[in-house]
Amino acid sequence: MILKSELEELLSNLRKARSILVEEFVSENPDIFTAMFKYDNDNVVMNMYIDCYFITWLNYHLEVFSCFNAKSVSCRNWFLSCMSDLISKYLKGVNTDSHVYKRSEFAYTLLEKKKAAIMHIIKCSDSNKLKYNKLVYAVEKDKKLFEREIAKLKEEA
Amino acid sequence: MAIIAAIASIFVKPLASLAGLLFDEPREAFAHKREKDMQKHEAELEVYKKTEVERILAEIDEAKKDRDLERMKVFSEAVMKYKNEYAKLNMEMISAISNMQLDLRERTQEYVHSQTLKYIELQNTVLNQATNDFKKIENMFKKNDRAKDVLERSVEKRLVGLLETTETFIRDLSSDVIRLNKCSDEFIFNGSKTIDEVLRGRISTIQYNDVKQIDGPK
Repeated sequence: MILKSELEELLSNLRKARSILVEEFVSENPDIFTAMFKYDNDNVVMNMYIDCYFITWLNYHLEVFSCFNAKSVSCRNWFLSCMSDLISKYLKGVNTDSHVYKRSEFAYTLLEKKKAAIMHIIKCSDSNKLKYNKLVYAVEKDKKLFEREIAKLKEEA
Repeated sequence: MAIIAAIASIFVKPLASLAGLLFDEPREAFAHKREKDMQKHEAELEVYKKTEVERILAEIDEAKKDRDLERMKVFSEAVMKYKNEYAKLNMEMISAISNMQLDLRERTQEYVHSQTLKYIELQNTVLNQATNDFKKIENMFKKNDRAKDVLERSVEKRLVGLLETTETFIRDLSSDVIRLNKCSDEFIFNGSKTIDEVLRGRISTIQYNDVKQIDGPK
């Protein structure tokens, strides 16, 4: 049995988390939108970035819950069950049958580690993008120099 | 008057001695007996006190043993329960970590695949350009061998550059894959450490609570 006061506080925290999500999109938070434009032609990295954002958002719930003092067992179970559903709904690579995500301390650590690992791939992609851009520049430069060379030789001829 | 007193003394003296015989001697015997009884009773009381104290101490000892036994029983039941839970949770956590590792490997593969496609596309563009350039050179400088030679060398140089860059790309991508797989393995390693930490914390808390429950509030 969840106490009315506990339930009200929990629902208000969940509402607050949802409002943060909406607010960040409505106000075009640069932390999110910069990445959306930066990776708009790279679906793979874009999806990874979206997952990272959702991990941060999901873990925000767990952070709030850890600061929430009055926790009866049923209130805790109800909240973690909601979280488990949310995690399996929004994240790839999560087995929905597992009860593991109903344990906040483990879920938080696991999600943070996953985020760090995905960010590592994104970092690799960024450094690779620099190399790719250098290559595109070299190709464009060679093409232009070649055209100039043709024009020059044509004039000479 | 004196005569009456003399006659009375004749009757009173023997009566007094008779009363002395009848009452004084048994009273002394009674007091003596009573004293003896009292001593006996005190001795019995002392023995009873000693026996009773020993019995109560033995009962307390027994009760303590029973309590310890009950405590041990509940404790071992709790240990068994949480050992089972530990095993189940351990399996679920390993499965969750493996799933995530699988997901990370898939993402790495996806990333490598997308990068490779990008490079192949660029490589094809450069090759097509080079082919067109060779055709152009052939058409425009059919009779000018020097110009043809200069331009063909330039295109060849560009192609060599492309090959070198492709080699660098493959090398970098391989090191990326090694790094990312290492990161994914560390994820598993750290995950196992996390499992241990979480489960150890959980079990010690639960056992402490169980023992506290038996001991009652202090």
